[in-house]
Amino acid sequence: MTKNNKLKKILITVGVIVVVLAAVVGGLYLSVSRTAEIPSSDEAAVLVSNAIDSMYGKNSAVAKEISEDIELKINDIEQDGTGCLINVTIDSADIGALLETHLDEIVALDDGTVKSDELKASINEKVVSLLPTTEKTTATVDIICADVDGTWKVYKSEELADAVYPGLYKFNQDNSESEVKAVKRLLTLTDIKIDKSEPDTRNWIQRSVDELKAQFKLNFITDGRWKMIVNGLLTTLEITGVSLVIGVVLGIIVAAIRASFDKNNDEMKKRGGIGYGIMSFLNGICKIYLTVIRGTPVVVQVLIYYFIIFKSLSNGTLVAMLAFGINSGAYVAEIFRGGIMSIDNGQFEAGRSLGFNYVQTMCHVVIPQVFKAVLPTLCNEFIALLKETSIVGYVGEVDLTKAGDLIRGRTFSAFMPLILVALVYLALVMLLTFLVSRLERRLRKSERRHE
Amino acid sequence: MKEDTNNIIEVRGLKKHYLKGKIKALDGIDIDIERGKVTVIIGPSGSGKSTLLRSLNLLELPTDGIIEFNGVDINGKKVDINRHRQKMGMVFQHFNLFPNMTILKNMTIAPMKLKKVSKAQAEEQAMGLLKRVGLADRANDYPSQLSGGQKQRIAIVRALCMEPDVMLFDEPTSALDPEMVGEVLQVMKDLAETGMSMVVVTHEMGFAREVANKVVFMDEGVIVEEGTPEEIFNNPQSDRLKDFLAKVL
Repeated sequence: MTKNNKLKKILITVGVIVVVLAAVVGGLYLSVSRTAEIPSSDEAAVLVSNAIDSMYGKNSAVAKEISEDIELKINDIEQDGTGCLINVTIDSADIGALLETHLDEIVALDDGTVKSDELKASINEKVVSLLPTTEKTTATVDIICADVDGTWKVYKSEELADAVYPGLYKFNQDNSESEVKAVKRLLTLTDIKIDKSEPDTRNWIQRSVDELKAQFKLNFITDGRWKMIVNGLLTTLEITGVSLVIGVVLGIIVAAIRASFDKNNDEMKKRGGIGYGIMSFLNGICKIYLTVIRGTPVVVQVLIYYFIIFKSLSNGTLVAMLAFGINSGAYVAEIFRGGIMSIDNGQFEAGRSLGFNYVQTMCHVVIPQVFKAVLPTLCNEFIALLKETSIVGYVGEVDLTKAGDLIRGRTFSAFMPLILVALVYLALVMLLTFLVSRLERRLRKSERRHE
Repeated sequence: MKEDTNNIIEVRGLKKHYLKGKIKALDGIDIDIERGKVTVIIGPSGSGKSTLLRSLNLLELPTDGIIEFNGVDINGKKVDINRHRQKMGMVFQHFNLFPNMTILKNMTIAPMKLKKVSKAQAEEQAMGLLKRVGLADRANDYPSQLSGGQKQRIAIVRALCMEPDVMLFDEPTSALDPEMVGEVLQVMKDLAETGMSMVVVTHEMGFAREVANKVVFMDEGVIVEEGTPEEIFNNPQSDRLKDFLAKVL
């Protein structure tokens, strides 16, 4: 029955999650695809031929003739980000033949910059030898169109120029000898205009992803900055781990002294001797320790350890471990003392009546039960400790937090390093919580098996 | 050690005062617990009978007095009370089984840790005792899985595992459902028949009449009357005992 109910609950939860996800994804898709309608095939042809017409300058008669002689065939038009991609096949003019017919004009177009007859003759020869002999070609190119305030702007790429002026455009770009320059001028092709940069047709998602990628690379990959995060994490874990051990050991000792004194002082008083005096002295020390540690901020404590007590100790990590260990000990002690006091006195009496002495009763009977009782509270203390270690940056230790902050200082971008640091802490705490809840379940076995 | 004496415990002038003598829970108790016999302490609530019982193994620290156990004053200063407690089994009103241990572990932990008995030997002894009280099949269960009567039977055999010279029962049936009282009393009866020295604080007058060798009536921290069950129940002398019996019988 309960199992069925559980299953139902899980199914409902999963269902709700699926619906929400679908709504989010759908919303995103709609917002992304909400751009100007892509042009039809005819409109595309007009757009492309207009673009081609606008490529040559006013004086480029040859270029004009070449570009008028091409044939366009629109193959495909597809959405691409906020723009569209027109796939077009261009049959070029027969450039070789065209140039042949215009050769005289081209040569005659000598604008007077070439003075010497000898040179003129050589140029004539060169022109003929240099002229591209390209014949009709067929090229298929993808042309990017960007949506600029609702109208389509065609991006005039090198590729397009090369398809319209096969051979010539490259020839225009490549050579630089003086004769060739002259030829180019004669061809009046020098002013074929193309667009310098590709239009940004990315939608906001692509743009954000690219931005994040760039940020990620800047903050973590460049100069191996991820190593700072890893080393910082190791330092954090090191400090937390060692101070956890110090704290628990110290806490149990202090709790044992305090609880023993509270529970056992009658008996010790009666037995007399030095035991009672020692215990009451230790109890006093423990009380002072608890008051001082719990009464001052941990940052101040760390600073005091670092700059006053362990002034000569250059190992900051060690100082931090001690500081946090001693600090945590006070809280753990009170947690354990509360746990010991919460165990029914009958358990204690049962242990004593069997012949266990005070310490044996504690170890064999009370402490195992205390541990189970205080585990959730203790887990809280561990989580608090893990996060508290983030202040060691105050004394120049590079832990996870400090590492993130250092990267922020170097890259001037706060988002990536700080969010990552937060996520790492979150993951650690979640892992810790998970492990403790498993341990708790195992310890609770004896209580759970009620019949 | 006065082995020749017939008394396992001799109490002389036992006092327990609270608040610097303002409250006198025990006010000068003299009592002998005979070896191999059952001594039952009865009396109204607050009469000090539980305090007396708990003083016998010093769970309650007396203000004054002598408690001789096997001829040693265990209320003296230089006494290792833990060693003597091993020989004094105690059963509590609320069982006080260790909830985090199985029944078997509850029974074997003391012999193993204190008498250094091997695990196998301790478990063998425990299983033998469990069979005697008919709970051998529950050895690996946890206390929370048992009924009150079963828990109390376990508590009795747990104490027996230390092979005590005397068993102290502190109202062993008071926290039980009525239908479970019988099974616990039966175990105690069987135990009495084996010749175990027992001190029982109880409100079960039937048990006192049937099993006790000596009945002690206490009121206001003093022993008012003591004698055989016959004398106490059939021929009470003091008005207070008469009054008490009139109310409980």
